[in-house]
Amino acid sequence: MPENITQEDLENMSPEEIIELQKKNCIFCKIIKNEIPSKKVYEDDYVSVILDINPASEGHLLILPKEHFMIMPNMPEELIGHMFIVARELSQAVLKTLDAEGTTIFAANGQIAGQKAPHFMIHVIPRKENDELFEFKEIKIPGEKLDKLQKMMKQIMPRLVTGRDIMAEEKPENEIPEYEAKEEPEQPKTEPKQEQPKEKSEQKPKEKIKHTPKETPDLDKISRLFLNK
Amino acid sequence: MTCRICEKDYSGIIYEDDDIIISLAEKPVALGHLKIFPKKHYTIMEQVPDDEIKTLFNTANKISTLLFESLQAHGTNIIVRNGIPAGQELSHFSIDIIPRRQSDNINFEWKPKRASPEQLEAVKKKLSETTSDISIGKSTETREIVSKKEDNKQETIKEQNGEKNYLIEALKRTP
Repeated sequence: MPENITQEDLENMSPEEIIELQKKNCIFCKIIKNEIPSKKVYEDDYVSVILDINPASEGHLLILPKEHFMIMPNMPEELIGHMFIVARELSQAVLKTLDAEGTTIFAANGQIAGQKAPHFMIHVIPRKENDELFEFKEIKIPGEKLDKLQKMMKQIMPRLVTGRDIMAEEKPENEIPEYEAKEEPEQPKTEPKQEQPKEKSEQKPKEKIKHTPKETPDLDKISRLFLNK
Repeated sequence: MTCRICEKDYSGIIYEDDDIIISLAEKPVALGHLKIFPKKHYTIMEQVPDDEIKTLFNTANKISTLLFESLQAHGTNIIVRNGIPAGQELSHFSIDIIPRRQSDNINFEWKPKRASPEQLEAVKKKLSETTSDISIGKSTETREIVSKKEDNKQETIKEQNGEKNYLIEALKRTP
């Protein structure tokens, strides 16, 4: 962080200003522009691939998008696709030329996830048996919590993946018969009541569409964390 | 050999279409640890064609964004464990998407090693032999192997040009 910028300045900056500041001071942007020397092993119009100078294992590679992005959710789809295709090719190169028996493709969004610099990157890490580089410690999650999570995810996923609210599109057919069945015993009593359930069943699907607004994560906050480092 | 993903013998599946399967991880490292699989059977990443890579990782990114929003994650990891030495659990390729929170007890921090400029230069030289051949978008040796595998002729792939066929080696090692 440049010395002439105070904590207070940072807090008053707009997200755009923060990103500009980040880009100006980004080591990896300088590496990409060859202003800082590095060991480049691959380059195309969109990415540069360099050797990590403090590798987890021999041949540890960093795939850097040439354009500065802090985290993956900010990146365009085409670039994400391209970066991981490059990751696949490099993984193949690592298996072919180095003494590796597997690879870990690793990406971190946010400092908490282990991201070290505010320039998004994908790591390709050559692996050998028993190298103990990564540990996946299984945790026990209570069945009740899991069921709840699974239910929630099942509801959100179709919309997330397809961009369409499939649940809401399908719901009306499923829900209307249910409402009618419930209200049926009341029907013979009076006529006005008969209209109420109808309204209800028409309104329900609309609410479903409204209740999943998509917001972007608090990128501003994440970027501040980096600069405060 | 039967594959548990192809047989849908995996608990916690939350989404499925013609291309992908999304599930809660059977062995989660955090609440909300999800896995995404291609519907078609591939063992390692090297076999997955371009289009599917694009779909899988863009979906992984959407899921990661969702975890930020809906599970109050403060970070996410997107990880591929490619091959048994990398911790791959099933014979079907997958991507792990892991929500991260403060003091979640997950340690993915590797010990950085010191590498001298000479060592790095030597690795660069070795890798450049192969990376100079990367021509994205064109068919590669990998895809030949995949298409042969689909014809159940996997065994007939011979070591070519006297070179060790690392992919077949890798396939033998996967679960």
